[in-house]
Amino acid sequence: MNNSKVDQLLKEFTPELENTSKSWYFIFLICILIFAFGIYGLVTQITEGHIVTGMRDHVVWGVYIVNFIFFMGLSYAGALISGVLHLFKSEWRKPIIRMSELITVISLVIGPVFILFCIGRLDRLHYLIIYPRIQSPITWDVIAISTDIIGCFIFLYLSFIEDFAYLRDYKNLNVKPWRKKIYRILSLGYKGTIIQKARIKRSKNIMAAMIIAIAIIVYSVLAWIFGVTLQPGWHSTIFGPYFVIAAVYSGTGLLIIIMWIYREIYHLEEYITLKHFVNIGTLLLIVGAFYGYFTFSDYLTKWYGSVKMDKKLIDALFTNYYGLFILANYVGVLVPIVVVGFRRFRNIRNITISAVITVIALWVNRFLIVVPTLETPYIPIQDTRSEWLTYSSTWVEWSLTMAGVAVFCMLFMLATKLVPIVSISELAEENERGLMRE
Amino acid sequence: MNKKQKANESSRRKFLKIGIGIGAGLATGLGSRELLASDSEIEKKTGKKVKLLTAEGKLVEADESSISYKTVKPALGEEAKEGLPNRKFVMVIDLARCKNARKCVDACQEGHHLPKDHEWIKLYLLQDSEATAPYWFPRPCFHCDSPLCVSVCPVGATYKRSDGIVLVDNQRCIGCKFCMTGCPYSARVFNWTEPHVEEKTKEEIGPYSPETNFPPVEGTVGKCVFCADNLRNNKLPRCVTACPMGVIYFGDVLEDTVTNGSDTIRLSTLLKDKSGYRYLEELGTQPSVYYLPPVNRKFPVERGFKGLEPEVKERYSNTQYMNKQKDNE
Amino acid sequence: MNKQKKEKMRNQYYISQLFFILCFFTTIVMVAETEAEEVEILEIYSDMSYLKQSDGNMQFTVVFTFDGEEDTEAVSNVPVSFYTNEDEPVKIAEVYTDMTGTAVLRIAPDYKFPLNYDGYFYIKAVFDGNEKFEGSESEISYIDISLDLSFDEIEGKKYIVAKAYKLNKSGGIEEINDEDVFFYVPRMFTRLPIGSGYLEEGKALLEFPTELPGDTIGKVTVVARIEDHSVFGNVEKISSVKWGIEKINTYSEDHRALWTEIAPKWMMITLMIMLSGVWGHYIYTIGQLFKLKKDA
Repeated sequence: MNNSKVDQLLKEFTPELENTSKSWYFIFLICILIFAFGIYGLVTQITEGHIVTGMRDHVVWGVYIVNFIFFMGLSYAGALISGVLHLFKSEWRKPIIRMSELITVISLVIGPVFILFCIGRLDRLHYLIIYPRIQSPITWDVIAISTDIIGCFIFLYLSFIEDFAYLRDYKNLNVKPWRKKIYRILSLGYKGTIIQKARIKRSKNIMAAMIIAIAIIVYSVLAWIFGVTLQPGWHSTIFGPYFVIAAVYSGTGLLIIIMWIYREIYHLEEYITLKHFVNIGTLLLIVGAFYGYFTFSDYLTKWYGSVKMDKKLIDALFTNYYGLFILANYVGVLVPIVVVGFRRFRNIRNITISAVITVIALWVNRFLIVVPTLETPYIPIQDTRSEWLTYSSTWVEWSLTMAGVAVFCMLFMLATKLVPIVSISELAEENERGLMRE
Repeated sequence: MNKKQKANESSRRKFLKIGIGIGAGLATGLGSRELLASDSEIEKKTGKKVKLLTAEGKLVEADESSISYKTVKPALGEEAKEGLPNRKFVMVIDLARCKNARKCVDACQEGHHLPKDHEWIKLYLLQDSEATAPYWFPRPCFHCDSPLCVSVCPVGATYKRSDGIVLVDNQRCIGCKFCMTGCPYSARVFNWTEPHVEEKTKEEIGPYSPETNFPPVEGTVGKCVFCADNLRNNKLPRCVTACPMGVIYFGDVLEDTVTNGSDTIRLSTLLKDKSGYRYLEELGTQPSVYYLPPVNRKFPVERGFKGLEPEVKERYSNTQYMNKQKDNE
Repeated sequence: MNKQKKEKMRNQYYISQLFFILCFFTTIVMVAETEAEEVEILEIYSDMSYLKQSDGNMQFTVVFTFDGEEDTEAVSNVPVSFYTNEDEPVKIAEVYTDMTGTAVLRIAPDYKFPLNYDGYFYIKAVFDGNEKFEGSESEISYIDISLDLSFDEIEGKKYIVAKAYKLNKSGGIEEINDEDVFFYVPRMFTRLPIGSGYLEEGKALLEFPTELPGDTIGKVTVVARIEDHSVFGNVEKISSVKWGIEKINTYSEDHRALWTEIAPKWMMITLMIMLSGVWGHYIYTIGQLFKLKKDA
């Protein structure tokens, strides 16, 4: 172990663990307030029933399901960067591994909670475990998501072990004793021996492969929840791959945003450089191009063939939802491509802005997949009540959405207090290998 | 005075039908169940005694006085999963005669104590294309033979029985609403709030049974059950008996017979003669409800708007037919 | 002056007396009327029907109803007397109506009915009335006939054969012709009409319908009826024959499909393989972590 390098890294990254700035507390407090408002909305929903949401007998799935798909999609950051790039053994990914894995695990924890909001009888949730029906896509989803969460946790933990060991051994660590104890316990007595290193390396390789496989399966299963129904707009063969690509796209976008935020806050300019942004940006471009291609392919085939229900759906998308459609499928695809594709625009700020647009566009894209289809069923909705004809979300749904985002921020901020934002062990290893080559 | 007399005449006729029905029923010894199109109250309250005058002139109790008229209660829990033995139910709806009288909707609402928001049988005004004629379309649950709603339920709260009826068990349903997105005919409704149930009705009906779907549970799904509680007592579903035009036929496909309460006809004959079809057959759900095309209509479509409450009439304001009317004006 | 005044006073006295008497009578009449309203007896309606049953019993059903506030209501639990013989009514039975206002009397086939000259029997059902209801009576008169139902194969085709006959005065059997006989098959809710025949040369024939479902072994029950006849009333005969199609519900409990309780085999196998593959790797990794701890 190259102690001096490790010490240098530790000296650089432990201050964030030791001290908490005022702004941290301030932002954390805002998040707690938003979270509390969300809880208030949830309590309203539980006491008064689901009637307080905008969902009615035809549009039975609304903002909650959109959020569920969205947050599950964000978890692809980890699958891609940690999983795929790990197997490629690319060096440049090392500073951003930790961030991507944290994004993965946290969004995986938040996503399924949104389904719970949509379920009519939460007191019977355990029926999913004791009376499962294997033929149902929701059962597949339950199995897949639980497998995915556990897999991602294991993978995350594997990357923590070495860092915890370093923190445990670091004499100048200035944190409370209970935190030191946590580091000691969770590092599992890692001493850095060759056998131990080998074990960790083998486990990481296996889990990286598993993560990729599971991630694809989870998101495909989610896509099939829509794909296997007969509803016009959902019954599309492209849904499986389409959702996977869209998920990778959103995950990459969020990763860029988090990279930018922590680069600014923790002054990580040395570790996260333009090169990283460009590389991840290139990934964004490639995946965005694929996403645009899949979307175009889906809508082209629907529009060209004259199936009545497809035509009704597309008409609805281009009249009622015109603005949102343009945002999601034109702006959301073209902006990142242009920004990253042209050298003139390729700087950190622009790439981050395009990532923000991407993430928002993808939320809107999920919304456009879920809601307009439910508004154009085979037998046309003939009803007087306006809320039964179209979907209009209520404050309860938005409060819970904001609460979800707030919880994401809170958990991320707490995580940065537990582990260094950059994986020390990985960086040390890189330098070590570099040294060895010389 | 005349109206009242008329009303009394018809209810007297109904009474006679019941009385004679009971009499005829007793006659066959086959079990009066098979011949009554009757009122459950009679069956509950009748303590029938039939007197037989023997050849010698003695008045004795007839053998059939021991026929029990007790109503069979709806099945509970696991029993409700078993269909009536050796039956497979089918419905035929004659679109040529429907004039949106909505008596089927009213009877269903009343019989199942549904809130005003829930309609298990809905009446649509459909028009297949620009040049084809609009028609009134009653849509109960189709109780498909290949039900997508059953396939997607994650906890097995909805199931298809051997007699063809698809039921929902509100004590198992978790309210995920996947079945509602699975049904291409929008046949299911959801209890978005705590349903208002009167204690009196609760006591009358008894414990929860998927065959009645009463009392409804908040956060669960409901739908047309082909009046499975009536079928246990060999009675027709409520919409069938309520329709003044005899639009809805109901029967057992294995017996090849359907009836609308007054006319009984072989199912194969009816479908052949009137060219019965199933709605959206190409979706492959294999519905158990056939439709007879609106040929030789008895009433013009406008009759369907007569006497409607304004709120109900508004529902059809966005249909192709009404839009055309507005354009013409 | 005095005389005129006296006369005037006398007139006034007579007029006032008349006035009082008038008031008095009006009051009495009003009171009488109200009392009469309170004890007004309700008019009731009665309707009797007759059915000659398959086992030979003659069934008389009479329903008594009255006009209630909203709807027709039953006159329940009142005694109904049945009389025979139009000229000198003889009471033969008394039956109480049930909750639906129906009283049913069956008469055994060999009961000696007094018949009139043309061979008609006569039944009258009488409710004498009580403090609440007016009395009402209903009468019918028919000739008693019987139906015979059998099944024959004639020239390779299957036929339902119905014969109608009555006992004439001398005790002999007399064929009945030139009448319609209707045939039904009892189904779950109602009776399915399968056709009608015309009584000629003593029998009515109906070709047995092809592909008619019977019960589980193919037995079909047929009901032959003479309906609403002005002379014979309603006459039924029921019999069964094993000419139908076996009615079997082909739904199988072991059926595996997307919508059944048991999943298709390939689904379960695929799921098992995938889950064991993934979770196997997880367990291996966790094992590695434990070994890591032990190594330390």
